[in-house]
Amino acid sequence: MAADGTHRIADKARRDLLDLRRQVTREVERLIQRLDTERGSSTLVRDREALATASRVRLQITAALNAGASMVDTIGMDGIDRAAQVATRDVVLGKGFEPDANAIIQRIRNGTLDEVPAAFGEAATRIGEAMRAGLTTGADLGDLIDTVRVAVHTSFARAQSAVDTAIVGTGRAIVLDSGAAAQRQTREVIVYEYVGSDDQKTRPFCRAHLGKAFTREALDRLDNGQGLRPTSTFLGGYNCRHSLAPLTISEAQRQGTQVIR
Amino acid sequence: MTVRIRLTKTLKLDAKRIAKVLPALILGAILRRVAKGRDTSDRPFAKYSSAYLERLTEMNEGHATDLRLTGGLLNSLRHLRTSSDRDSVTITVGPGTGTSPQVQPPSRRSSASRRRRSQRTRRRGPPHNVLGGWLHKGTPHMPARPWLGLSKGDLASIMRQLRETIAAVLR
Repeated sequence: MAADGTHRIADKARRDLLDLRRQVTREVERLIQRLDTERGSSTLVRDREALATASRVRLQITAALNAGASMVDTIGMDGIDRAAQVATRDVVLGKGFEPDANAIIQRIRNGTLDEVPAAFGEAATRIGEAMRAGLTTGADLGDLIDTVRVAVHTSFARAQSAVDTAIVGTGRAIVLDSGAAAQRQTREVIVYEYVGSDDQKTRPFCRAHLGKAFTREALDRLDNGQGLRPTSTFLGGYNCRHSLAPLTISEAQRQGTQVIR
Repeated sequence: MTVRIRLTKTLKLDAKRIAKVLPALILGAILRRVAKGRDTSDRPFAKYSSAYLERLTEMNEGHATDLRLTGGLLNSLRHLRTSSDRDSVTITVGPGTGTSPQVQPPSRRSSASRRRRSQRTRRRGPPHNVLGGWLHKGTPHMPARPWLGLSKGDLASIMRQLRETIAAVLR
C-alpha cells in the first residue's frame, strides 16, 4: 500500500542520510587534517602559504557539503516521488487515493525539501567563518574540527527534520484525501478538527487552532509563519505533532466544536 | 483494524460510494477519541508511569495520556485498504510501518534554552505499527492502552454521520 511504501522509502532515505553524514564528516575532517599535514603544525598560521592552503581546503569543504546537500536532496525527492508513484498506482487500482494525491505530494516535495540545500549552505558558511577566524587568531585545529562536526551535525539534523516533516505531511495529505473522497460522494461538508497535545511545547499557532474544525480551504488560508504551505498539510510547521481528524460539519456542530469555513 | 459494516438489502445505495465516505469518518473518530485520552471502551487510558511522567516533564511535554510524543504514530494512521461485495464493505485502517525520531530529555549539561525541549538520540523509534501494537496490547512493562478500534461512542458518531451523508445524497 502507498502508506507503507512511503514509510519504507522514508526509512531508506534516513539510513542514507546517516551514511552520507558519516561520509561527509570523514571527508571534511580529512580535508582539514591536510592543513595540519601540509603545515606540520597543529595551529593555523596567517601567512601566504597557509592562506592559500586554507582557501583551497575551504573550497573543497564547501564543494563536499554542497555535494552532500544535493545527494540528500535527491534522496528526499526520490523518496517522495516514489511514494507519489505508489499513491498514483493505487488510484489506478481504485483503492481509495484520489487523482490529486500526486499533485499534493509534489507540492510537499517542492515546499519542505527546499530547506535541505539551505541547511547545508549555512553549514558551509559557518565552516568558512570558523576557518577565517582560525587563520586570524591562530586557533587550534582541534577546535576547528569540532566546529565542523557541529556544523555538519546541525545540517543533517535540519535535513532530517525536513525529511521527517515531509513524510508526516504526506501522511496528513493522505488523511485529507480520505476526507476529499468522502466529500465527493455527498453534499455534506467534511471538516477537519485540529487535534493533539496542548502543553508548554505547543506553538501559539497550534494552540490558537486546537479543538476547532476547519474546512480544508480555511486551513490553507492560515499562515503558520514558517513558509510551509499548504497549511492543511504542515499545520504548525516543522516537527508539528498535531493531526487533522475528519468529520462532517453537522457532527462538529452537534459536538459544539467551533467550525471555521 | 478491520471494520465490517453490513448494509440492509432494502437500502438502494452503491456500497462503493459508502466505502469512499467511511475511511475519513473512521480515522477522524479514532484520532478524536485518542486525543481525549479514551480507549476503545470509552474509558480513560491507563495513566503513564511516574517515571515516564518525570521524563515528560523534563522534555516540557504535557501529562495527558494521548499516546502522542512526536505525533509520528498518530499521523501515520491511515486507510490501508477497502474491499467490498454486493452488501458489505470491509475497511482496514492502521498505522504505517515507518519510524519517528527517538527523543529523550535534554542532558543536564545543556544550555538553559535547550533544557526546555527534548533532544533527538540519533536513533529511530520502533516502526509505528509495532509501537501501535505494544500500546494497544501492552507489554510486561506497560499496561495495555487499547486505541486501535472503534468504541461504542465512535460507532454511534460514525453511523450518525453516515446517516446524514446518505440523507444528503438522497436529498
